[in-house]
Amino acid sequence: MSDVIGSERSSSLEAKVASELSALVKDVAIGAEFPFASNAAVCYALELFLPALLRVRFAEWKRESLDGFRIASARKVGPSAVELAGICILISDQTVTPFCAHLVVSPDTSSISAYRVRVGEAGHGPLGISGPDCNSSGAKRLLDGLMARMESVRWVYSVDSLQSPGDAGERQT
Amino acid sequence: MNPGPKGSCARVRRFSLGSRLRALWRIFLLQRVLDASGKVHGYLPEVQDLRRYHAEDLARLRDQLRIRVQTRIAKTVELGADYGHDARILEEQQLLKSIEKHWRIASERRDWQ
Repeated sequence: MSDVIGSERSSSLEAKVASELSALVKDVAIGAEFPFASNAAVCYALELFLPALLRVRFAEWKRESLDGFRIASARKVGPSAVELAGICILISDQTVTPFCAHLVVSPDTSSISAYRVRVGEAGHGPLGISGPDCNSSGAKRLLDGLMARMESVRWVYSVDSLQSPGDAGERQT
Repeated sequence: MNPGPKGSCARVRRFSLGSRLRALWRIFLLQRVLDASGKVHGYLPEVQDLRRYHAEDLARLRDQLRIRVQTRIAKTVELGADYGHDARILEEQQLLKSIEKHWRIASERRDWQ
């Protein structure tokens, strides 16, 4: 999958995400939630990795990145698959927006073999997905209420490994 | 004359409403910047607002920024850079320099509130 992002650096980033996630869910039963702290080692790699996936198809993400996560749910959904949902901080304006990432780690834990990443609800800001300020009570409300309405969230950005690299990104409005 | 009870109640009476409000404002400003994990998130203070901080709060912010900038740089070396993180590092470094300059000048004047 590192070919999709397309650089040696991304490859090491992907390897870092894969190995950290794998270690995190090693002893977790499939279907079970696992503790995921915002300062976990994997977080910084994910802050770079998820935008890198989005940049492949959405040019506007070249100037945007993520600066932190607040996790509402972290669940092991397969032998080597995890699903993370919560809110992430947009680095450009330090506001939060919801995200959901489904990541499948390869058997040798050296790469991400499949993924589906969804980020953002319609809002304001540079990408039109900015929500409340990251330290506000609005951010806490967004996080607390996210799982209850996860199925009805209208994601603005969505990428998955089934799309071919040449596909133009389709921004949902 | 009854000196009154010792402890916080006695001390609170010695401060004016204005000074207590100023203290609350400083704490509010600081909490906007430092989150529970100690990472520096949110809008960074403007340089012209630095004088509103209490010396202890500003020292705490400065120390957090030093750690955070070092951490960000170390992570950038380890995992690579991107436009957004580079811009944030630059912003935090500039704020850190401003705080250090403000601290130096204020220390020379000894004009901490």
